[in-house]
Amino acid sequence: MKKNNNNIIGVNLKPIENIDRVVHEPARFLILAYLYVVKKADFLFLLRQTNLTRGNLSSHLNKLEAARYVKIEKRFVDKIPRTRIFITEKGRKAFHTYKQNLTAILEKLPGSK
Amino acid sequence: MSADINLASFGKKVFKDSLQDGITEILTSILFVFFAITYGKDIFIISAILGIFVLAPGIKVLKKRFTYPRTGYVELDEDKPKIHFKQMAIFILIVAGLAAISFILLGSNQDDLTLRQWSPAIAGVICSAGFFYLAHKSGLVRLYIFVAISVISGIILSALKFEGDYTYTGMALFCFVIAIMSFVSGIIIFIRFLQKNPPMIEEMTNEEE
Repeated sequence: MKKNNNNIIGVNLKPIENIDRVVHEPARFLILAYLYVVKKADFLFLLRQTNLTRGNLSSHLNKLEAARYVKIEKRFVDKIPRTRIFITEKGRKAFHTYKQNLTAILEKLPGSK
Repeated sequence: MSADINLASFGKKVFKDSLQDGITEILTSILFVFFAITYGKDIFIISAILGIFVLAPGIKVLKKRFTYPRTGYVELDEDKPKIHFKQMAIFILIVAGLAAISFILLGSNQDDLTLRQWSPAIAGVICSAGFFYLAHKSGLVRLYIFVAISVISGIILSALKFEGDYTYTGMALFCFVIAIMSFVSGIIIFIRFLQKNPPMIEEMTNEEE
C-alpha cells in the first residue's frame, strides 16, 4: 500500500520531520537571530537581549557550539571574563535554511494567507 | 513558531540600542563646536581631521568604558552597506533645487558672499540627510526631530543678515545649534542610560550554576 504523505488536511507535512532541531528550540532560535544580524556579540549582550538566565544561555550556546553554528572566544580583560560569540558560516546557512523551510511549510497550511 | 520572522526588526532594534547611551551625540556636539569656532579659518582642517580620525575611535573608547559593561558588547554588521540610490538621487535633487532657487531668486549676480549666505541652508540639508538616515535605520523619534531642526535652522540662518567682518557667522551659528541640540539630547540620554543600566558581570552566581 502506497504511503500517503498528505494527511487529512491535504498538505505534505513530512518536511517538518527534517526541521533542524538545533535551531528549532525557541531560545536557540532567538540567540541565532541576534547573531545573524550582528557581526559579533558578547555573553552579556545576549543575556540582556534574550532574557535567559546565565545558566540557560550557557547551555544553549554550548549546544550551538557543538553543532558548529557559533564560535565562542573566551578571554580575560583586566581579570574580568569576556566571552565573545559569533555565528559561523555553517550556522548562518542553517538559520537561513530553517527560516525558509518553516516559512514554506506554514504557507502551505490552509488559512495561512 | 511564527513564520513572520522579521530579521530587519532585530537589526533595527540592535542599532537603536547602540544609540541609547547618548555618547555619539555628545561627541558629535563637541565636534560641531570645533566646526563653529574654526569654520572659514585655516585651522578648520584640524576640525576635519578630528572628525575623520578621532570621532569614531573616541566613541569606541567611551562605549568600552561606559556602555559595554552595562549592555554587553556588540559589533554591528557593516559588511554589507546598502547604497540607496533612490534616496541619494532625491537628496541630490533637493540640494540642486536649493542651489537653483538661490540663483533664480538672487539673480546672476553671484559671488562668494552669496554662497556663504546660503551655506547654512545647504549644511542643514546635508546634516538632515545624515540624521534622516540614522532615524530611518534606528526608528528613533528624536532623530526625526533633529532632521527638522537642521533644515529649519539652516534656512533661518541663511535668511538672516549678520553684521561684522566675519562672513561665516551664519554657518558658525548653525554649527552651534547642531552642537547644542546634540549635547542636550546626548547628556540627558546618557544620564538616564547610566541610571537604568547598572554594570553587569558574566560570571554565574552559585545559585545559577
